[in-house]
Amino acid sequence: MASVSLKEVSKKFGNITAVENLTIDIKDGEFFSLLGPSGAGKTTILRMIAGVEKPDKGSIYIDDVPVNDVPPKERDVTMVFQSYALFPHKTVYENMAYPLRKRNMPETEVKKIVHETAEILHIRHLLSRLPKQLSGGERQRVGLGRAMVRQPKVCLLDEPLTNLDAKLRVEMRGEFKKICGNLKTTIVYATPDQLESVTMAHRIAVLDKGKLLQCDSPDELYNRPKNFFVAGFIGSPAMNFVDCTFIEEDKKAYLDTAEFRYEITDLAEKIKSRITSSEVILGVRPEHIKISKSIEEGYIQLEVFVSERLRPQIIVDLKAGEKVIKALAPAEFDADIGDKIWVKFEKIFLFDKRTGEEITGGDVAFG
Amino acid sequence: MLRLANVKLEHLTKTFGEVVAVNDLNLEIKDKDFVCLLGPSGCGKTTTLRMIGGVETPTSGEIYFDDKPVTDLPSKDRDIAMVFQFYVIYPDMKPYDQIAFPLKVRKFPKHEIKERVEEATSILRIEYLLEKPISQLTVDERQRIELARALVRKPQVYLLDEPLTNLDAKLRAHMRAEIKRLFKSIGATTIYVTHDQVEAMSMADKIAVMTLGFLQQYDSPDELYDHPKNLFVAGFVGSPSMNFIDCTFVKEGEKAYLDAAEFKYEVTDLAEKIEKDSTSPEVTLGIRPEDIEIHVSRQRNALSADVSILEPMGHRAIAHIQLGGITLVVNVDLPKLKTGDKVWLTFKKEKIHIFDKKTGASII
Repeated sequence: MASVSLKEVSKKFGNITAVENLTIDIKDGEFFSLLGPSGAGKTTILRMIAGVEKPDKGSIYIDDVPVNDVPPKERDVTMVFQSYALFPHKTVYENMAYPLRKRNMPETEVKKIVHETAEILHIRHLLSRLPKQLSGGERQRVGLGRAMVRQPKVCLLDEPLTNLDAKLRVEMRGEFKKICGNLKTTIVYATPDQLESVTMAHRIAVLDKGKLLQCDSPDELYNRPKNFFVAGFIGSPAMNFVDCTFIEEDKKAYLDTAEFRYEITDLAEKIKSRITSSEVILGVRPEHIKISKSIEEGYIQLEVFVSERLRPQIIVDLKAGEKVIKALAPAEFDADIGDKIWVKFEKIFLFDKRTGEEITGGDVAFG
Repeated sequence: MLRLANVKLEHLTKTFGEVVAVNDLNLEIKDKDFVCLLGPSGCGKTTTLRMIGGVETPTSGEIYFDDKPVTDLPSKDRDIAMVFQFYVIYPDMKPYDQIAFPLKVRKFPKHEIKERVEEATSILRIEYLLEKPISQLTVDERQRIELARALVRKPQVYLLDEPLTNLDAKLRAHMRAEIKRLFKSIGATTIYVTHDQVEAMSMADKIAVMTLGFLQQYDSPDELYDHPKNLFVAGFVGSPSMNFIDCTFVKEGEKAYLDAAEFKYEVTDLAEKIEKDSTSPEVTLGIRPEDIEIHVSRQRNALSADVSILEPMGHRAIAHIQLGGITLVVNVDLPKLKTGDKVWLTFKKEKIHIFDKKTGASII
């Protein structure tokens, strides 16, 4: 195990900035995730930690030792890719033994380590098979196994679940988390899929276009996103956003949209002290929208655009002007296209439209 | 207005050499229904769609549109529109011309082409991009153009082959709702192929679940979810998947149990049905992740277990619970649990499923 630090690291490819002034500290033994859409800089960061790419600026440390000038093979770091790159003509055992034999390890030692690693990964029964005789999930575990036999200080994983189908990915997530917990190594896991990050990682660095937007625990990112991008990226179905104008009238304060007005007098002072203009974006998570079929105090009326019975939950899409707001409803909720229903927001976020910054600090809930 | 159609498949079979891709398929798709053909790769769903589209000839069996046999009709005479996952975009044509293309080929009068393109683009809300160069369009805009190109034809039947596969997760969730709304609002008969049960469950009126060329069940999403006819359907529909526990059905005096080695589950009230419908005492107990209740203190008849893994997802979590050698996946609403916690489990009795282990058929 080892800690990994990046201090003010930048990397350009020609005119394109892949990573910009990035500082992160990954703790010893941590499961750390790099999360962002394609072009966020995730793979470049992994490659710089591995040593196959050099930063233009800044320093990388492994266990507080600067490694900028240490060649990849001396860094004690391994990398697993989405295409596991197994040797097709070698058995699982031979594939896993390969990195050890390359280091001239005695065969008795090789055997011991391969068997131990296979035990942790639950692939002992597969050792004599060829890669083509394995399922996607099994192949993925073998790829991981081959990286782990070297018992590296740091294991870098580049979208290891991306090539699996949706259903297998859900199953592998839990299994992967369990395996990684047993491995006693520092893991840096890059993925564009927020579900993989929030379900598996201790901490997540959310990146976009080479910039770090927030680095926090999954809970913090969900409950207290610092900006518009993080808020929209973390959570599924994604947070809804509605453009609003903040207005004050007769000692009351409202968020005014083309479709509805939302009273927020209690928050007026806080909002005023933190916004740069009256143009704000209201953010509401689908699970924080309460739905009623009949009119209730403090609810607003919206029309059903479509509903999706994604058991055990129902996603109800509601029309708000040109926009669609997604709300989660319990399984027994039934609504047709065009029905009028009433909704109430139980928790909201507000973003400054110009800067994208979150204003409320994530603590605005209505009973 | 659109002309609509029932589609009927009778004893449809297609073999490729030794491989039976579709095996004696009978399916009736009603006018205006949105039907999904769902299954893993190799299940025969795409072959079925291609036969309906007329680009593949059945080895045997018959296809009817509105009771009229079309099995021998060439694709272009079938009045269908197909939408694929890899959209055919002509890079040097403007969006308007892309959409108008199928009408131009069919020599429609200019004013009608204009009318139809305008109608389709307004339904899809893409009027704003008609004059943009294709290279500047985003993936979802291209997908909408592909949909518009299908809409202008106003065919009897729309056939869609995994149209969302190439989109990222966020966009897919968004387009899913759009497509459902679109085809519901124009009231068209739509057949949609996917391997993703999320798409099928969220969009379809009815789903045909297939595997290895055989139809497993043809029902509404709710019916498939609540009353799967066999182990395959039960495991394929729903995410995370239904938990399966191998058990032996045993009787002790007046009482009957499912014996799972790690625990015994009383099923005295179901004993008669299990005895009648099972081929042997070996059965599989099925329970969905949301139908297991977790208690933090000891309860009567609750099974003692440990939390081995937690996957937090903001407002909820998936817990992997270890019950001796059995791992159960459980949906938890408020993730106050920690890894290593001792918990007690109860199953919602009315929600359990029991399958014959040998045949896979549902008993309860």
